[in-house]
Amino acid sequence: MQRGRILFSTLAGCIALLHIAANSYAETKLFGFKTDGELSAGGRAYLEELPYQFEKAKLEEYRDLRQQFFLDKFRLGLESEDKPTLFEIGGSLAGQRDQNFFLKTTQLGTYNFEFEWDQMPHLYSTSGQMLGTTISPGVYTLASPRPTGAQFNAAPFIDRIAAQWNTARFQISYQPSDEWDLSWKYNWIMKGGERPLGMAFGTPGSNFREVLEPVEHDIHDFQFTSRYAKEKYQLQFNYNLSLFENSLNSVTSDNPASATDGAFAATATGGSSTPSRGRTALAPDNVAHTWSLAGSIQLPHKTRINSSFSYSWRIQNQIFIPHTINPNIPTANLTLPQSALEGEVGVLSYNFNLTSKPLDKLTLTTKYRFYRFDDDSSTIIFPAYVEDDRVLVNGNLTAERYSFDKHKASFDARWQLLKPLALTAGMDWERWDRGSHREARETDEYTPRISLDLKPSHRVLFRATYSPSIKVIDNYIPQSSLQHVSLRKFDETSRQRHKVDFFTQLTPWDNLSTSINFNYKNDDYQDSTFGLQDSESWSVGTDLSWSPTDRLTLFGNYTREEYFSKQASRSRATGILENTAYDWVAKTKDIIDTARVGFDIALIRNKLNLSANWDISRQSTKMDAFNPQTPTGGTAAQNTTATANDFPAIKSTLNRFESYLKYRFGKAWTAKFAYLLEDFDRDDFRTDGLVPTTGSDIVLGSAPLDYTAHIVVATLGYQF
Amino acid sequence: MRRGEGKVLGFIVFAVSIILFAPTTFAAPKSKTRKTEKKEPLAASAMVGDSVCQNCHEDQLAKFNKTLMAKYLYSKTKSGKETFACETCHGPGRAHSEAGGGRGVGNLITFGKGATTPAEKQNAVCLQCHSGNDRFFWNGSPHDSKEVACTSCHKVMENATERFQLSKSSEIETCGQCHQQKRAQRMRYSHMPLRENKMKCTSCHSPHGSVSDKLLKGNSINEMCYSCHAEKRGPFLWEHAPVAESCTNCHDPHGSNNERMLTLPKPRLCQQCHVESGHPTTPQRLTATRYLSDQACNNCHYDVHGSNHPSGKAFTR
Repeated sequence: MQRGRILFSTLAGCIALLHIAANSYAETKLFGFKTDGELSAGGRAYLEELPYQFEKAKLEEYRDLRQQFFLDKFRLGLESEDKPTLFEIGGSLAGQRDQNFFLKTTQLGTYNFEFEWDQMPHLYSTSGQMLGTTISPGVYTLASPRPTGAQFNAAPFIDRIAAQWNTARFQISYQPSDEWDLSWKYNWIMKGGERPLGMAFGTPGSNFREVLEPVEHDIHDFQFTSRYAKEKYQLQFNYNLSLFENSLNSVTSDNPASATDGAFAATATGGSSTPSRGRTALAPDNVAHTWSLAGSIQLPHKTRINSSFSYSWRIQNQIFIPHTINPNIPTANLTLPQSALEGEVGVLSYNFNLTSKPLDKLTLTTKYRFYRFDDDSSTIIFPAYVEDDRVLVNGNLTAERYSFDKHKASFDARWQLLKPLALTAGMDWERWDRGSHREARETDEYTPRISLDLKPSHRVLFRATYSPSIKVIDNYIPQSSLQHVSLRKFDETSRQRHKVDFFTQLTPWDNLSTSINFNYKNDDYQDSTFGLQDSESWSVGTDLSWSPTDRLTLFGNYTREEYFSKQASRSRATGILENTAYDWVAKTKDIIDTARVGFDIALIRNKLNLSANWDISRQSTKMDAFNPQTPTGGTAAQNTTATANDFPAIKSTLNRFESYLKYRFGKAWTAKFAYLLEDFDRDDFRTDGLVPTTGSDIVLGSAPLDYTAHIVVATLGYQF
Repeated sequence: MRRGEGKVLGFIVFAVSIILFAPTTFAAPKSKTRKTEKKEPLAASAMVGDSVCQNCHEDQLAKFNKTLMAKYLYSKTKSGKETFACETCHGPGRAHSEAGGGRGVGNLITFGKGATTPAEKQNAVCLQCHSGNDRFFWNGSPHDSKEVACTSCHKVMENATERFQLSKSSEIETCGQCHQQKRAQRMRYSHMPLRENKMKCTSCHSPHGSVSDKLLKGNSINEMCYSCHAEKRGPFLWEHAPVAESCTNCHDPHGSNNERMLTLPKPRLCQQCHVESGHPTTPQRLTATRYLSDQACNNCHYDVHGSNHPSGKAFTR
């Protein structure tokens, strides 16, 4: 509360100072500049009782809604009169975890400098529980002997499992002449915090433990762009350097089920030892350089060519951690062939676009795009590896590299049949060449397209597009002996698609506009015995905005979406891999309704405004599954394991009501009173009621919980 | 296509296109046969100047004068159009003013709702000055092809939004005029921070044109995602091939009812492709908590985006 008083006093002081400053300088100018600006500050409070800390995960997922005083918004602008030079400093939500500040200075047409500091929390959980000690970042130990399940369930709560994203953005652009435009950008994203991480130990009972991954990431992104533009042609060069740095390279956790490393039991293929702890690698540091060159030329007959070439070089060479930290695993075959990946990927892309209007009523567009992902990293062969710090597997294991090429060409012809009616016909062709390391070496997709645009008047617009497509593959060769020969991975197999899009916009009067859209897509994976077989989705939406008077605006929209997918599989247990009675089919359906209604009204013109809107989003996901035949032919346990059943629906509902009353008084003062109601409810059988001890596994129990929050915000603003 | 061929092909097509068309282009302004391509200069006799416009359009001009564009036009820095700001965009106004004004009188170029000027002609006016940045790829872009007018998304005559003079209160509302489904998706359980105003449509998309599909700002979907999630870029020792090809194989970046914006709930998402043996192939029952609860498959296979652990073959390390 002391902090709140100090902040409130500071804010009040700022308002008073700005008021004095504005009165003093508004007429006389500040350093020869005209000034303008605004400042608003206030406080936020919860009506009724505060949501419990463990209910806040979803409420404050990306924002800070603590009960406190805060500086809602401030801005000070300076402007020279003779030359249009502008200087602006400002910010919002100062003092909060999601605060933002900016500084800009511009001489229009000559230079522009911008700096922005932006913060955002990413809150994963406020209800996690974890037992043990963190002896250093990312190293989690447990007592010996290991705690019991009851002790894990009684573990202390973690107030916040979150990663804070702080971003600094700099941008300078300079136009030395009408033709030249130079710009430099630098973004620095700093992520700090933690997020849940699961670590498998595999024994006893194939167990795992969920711990926290420390997030200490820095992303530096530097970009330089130069453009040269004449009326008939333009050239653009761009260089981008992106660096990712991770302060930690691994996470270590004790096995909650074993305090000692078990004796090594040799087998024909290697052997195993129950680990007392495990270690996993975190994302390695990496660097990407990207150069691109683009050109554009205006030709006769309203013809324009755009072309661009880009090459990106990605590098990663972080030192590997050892195969295992289990001291009882023999290391004879575990010497690393090399200390780091020497990772190197080249990404090349080339684009060519030609647009021409040879006749007044005919527009032709041709595009070609080539994209190459060339993973030139070392192909490392390991003589052995260790599964989950537990199982030694001898025998060469190759870390494959996956490269691919992608070509896409398209042609469109748009014919203005009548003044209000245009017909567009076109065709896309896309080829993926993934090489012999993937199941389908080459896939080709052909997408003819026809669309109709009808605009009988400026008040009516219809657009409709139908674009079926067919994807064909040359051959499908499973790449793993474990993989079922009848599986067809959805991204690599043949597919027939039907896609329809419809949009209409009506503006019967200037004060009323409405639109309706409809989208439908059906994907049929006709050759997939196993895998995704069918996928279908549709959505319909409508939008309305009506201003019956110049003081009142009513608005609303509604969207209904449905997604359906069907997949097939076969339960394959050891020794009973090909039992057709173990086939099962899963159908998943999502139904989502989203609606918004609201109004803005000027109760007293230029004095008192009232605004309110209500959003609702209802989502339901249902996973159903069945066996075409009753599973038989194995042991009772195997038959049970192969039996498919429906899962309970996963449902979410978000209700959000927001309203404010804004009153202007004096020449420059504004008082604003806002009320926000948010009610969130989710039923998810996978996470509801999770406690740390779940079977033989230990989890954080960190699912976001339901909440209802009534929040009021009062702010006082001053504008000059 | 073999390695290296693509680079060579790209260079050749690019070079040939430049070589073939550049001489024609550079020669074009000198050629007397290219008159149709020359932009007609604004005839001084047909212009009246802003002072005349102001006689009837005082309110509009008062609002316009507060915009950055007005400040620039009146700045005398480069344009030389300071006395003809209105006619720079609306065309010569003498016929309109001499006929006494009125909607549709004098063949002016009109913008916004109720505009009778075709979108292509309206946009050509804007592109006279605003052809840089991502407008570089405007011609032939999806919005150009659909004849979307600049003023469908931007306001010009008054200060509208803090940045970019949008026609609606925010980017997502502006884009949502047509992309209603995408606007609705931000309200989903699992979403990027669009509704919290920490991201915008233009964080990933370039509505004025782009070299990529879906008007992405980056060169590919993954490249766009890596700009904030660079930890997923790799290359990793153990790659998960579909991840390197497209993040959208598993994620819907506009929002989802599933955790982490997945296109399907786990374990069904993973089971679309993993028909091998053992637990990935079993339909799972409610009692199989390890494979269903909490992070489901990722309880153990945490590093599905790629692992740099020597024993990370199955993405459990």
